[in-house]
Amino acid sequence: MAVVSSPNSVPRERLARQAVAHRLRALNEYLAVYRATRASGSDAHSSQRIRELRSDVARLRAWGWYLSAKERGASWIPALQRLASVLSFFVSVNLVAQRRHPRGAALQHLSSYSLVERAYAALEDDTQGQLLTLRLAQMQRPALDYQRDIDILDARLADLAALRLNGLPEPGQVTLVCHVLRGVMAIGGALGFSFPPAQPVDS
Amino acid sequence: MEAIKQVLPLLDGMPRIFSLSDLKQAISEQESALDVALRWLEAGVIRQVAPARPIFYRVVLGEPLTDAERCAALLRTFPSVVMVAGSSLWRQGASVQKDAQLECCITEQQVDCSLPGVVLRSRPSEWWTVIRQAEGVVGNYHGVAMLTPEMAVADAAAFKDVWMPDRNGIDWTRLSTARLSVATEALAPLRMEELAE
Repeated sequence: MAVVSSPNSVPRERLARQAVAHRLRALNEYLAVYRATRASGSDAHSSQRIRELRSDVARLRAWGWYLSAKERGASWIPALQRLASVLSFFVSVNLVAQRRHPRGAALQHLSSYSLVERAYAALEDDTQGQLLTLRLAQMQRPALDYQRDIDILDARLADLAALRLNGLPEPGQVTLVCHVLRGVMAIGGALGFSFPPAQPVDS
Repeated sequence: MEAIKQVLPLLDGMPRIFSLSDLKQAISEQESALDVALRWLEAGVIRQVAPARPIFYRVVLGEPLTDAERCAALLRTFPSVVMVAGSSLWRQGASVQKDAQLECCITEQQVDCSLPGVVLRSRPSEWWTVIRQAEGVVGNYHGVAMLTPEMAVADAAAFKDVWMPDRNGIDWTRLSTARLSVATEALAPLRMEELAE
C-alpha cells in the first residue's frame, strides 16, 4: 500500500520517539505495581516479572536515546550504525542458533527487535482506538463535526503503519544498538552523566 | 444490517474481553479490523472498555461480566490499576458490606470507564511509591493488586473520593493499629498536596 504524505504527517524519528515514550510509560506503570506487590512479599512471581520489565525498560530507553540522537544528528550515530551493521551478522548467526536451542539468557537478543516493534504497534493500536471513538461519535452525533480530528488521526495512522513496516533496521542491528547503548547508559549513569529520563511512575 | 450479520459469527468466536490486536489476528487480510470494530461498536454488540482505548468487551444480554472478566479488562487497559477502598476491604473479608462497584485507582487523570460496575479514581504517581514503601499492597484479585485493609482505610481518609463501608461495617479486629498509623503517615504528604491544590 502506498503511503501518501499528508500535511498532518510527523517526522518518522519523532513519531518513533513518541511510540517509545508511550510504551515506556505503560511498562513503568506495570513495574510500579509489581514493585509494590513484591515489597509486601506477597507474590513470588513478581521478582521474575520485575527483572523482565526492568530489562525491557532499559533496552527501550536505549532505543529512545538512539532515536533522539539520530534526530538531532549526533556525531557518534554513523559510527554506531556502522558498528551495528558489521556486527549484526554475528548476532543473526547467534539468533539462528538460539532458535534451534532456545534455552539461555541470550534469547533476549531476539526480543529487542520485538520490544521496539511492539512499542510501535502499541501506539498504532491506541491511535486506532482514538479513531474508533471519534468515528463512532461522528456517527451518533452527525451535527458535531469531528472530521478534522479524524483526518489528523488518519494521517497519524498512515505514518505509524509506515514506521512499523519500514522504520526499523534489521533485528540484529536493533539488538546491537539497544545493548551497546544500554551498557553505555548504565556506565554513564554510574559516572553521573544524564540521559533521557526513564519516566518512572514510582521512584 | 447485512454487513453486521456477516461478521457476527466472528464476534461469537472472540473472547469476552479482546483487543484490537486480537481482532487483527482473527480476521482475514481483506477486512480491516478497524471497520469491523466500528460496525460492532455501532451495532452495540461490543463496547470500548474506556474511551479511545483499543480494548473491548462483548455485550451479552443477560450475561453480565464476571469479576474475573472485569479485572482482565482493567489489567489490559490500565497497567497501573490497584484495587482500593471498600472493594479491597470486602474481598479480604475485612468488611461485612459488599461494594456495589469495583473501585480502583490509576495514574491517568482521565478516569472514564464503560465497564459496568467499575469506578476509577486518579492518584498522583507518587502514590505508587508510597504504597510500595509502606508495604500497602497485599496479593491480588484476579490479577489486580489490592491495597491492604490498613492502606485502604488510610487512602479513603486521605482522598475522600471512594466508597467505604460504615464504621461498624469494618472488621477492625483484622486491622493492625500500627500498620494503619504507618499507612496514614505515609499518605499524609500526598494529602497535603491535594489540599494545596
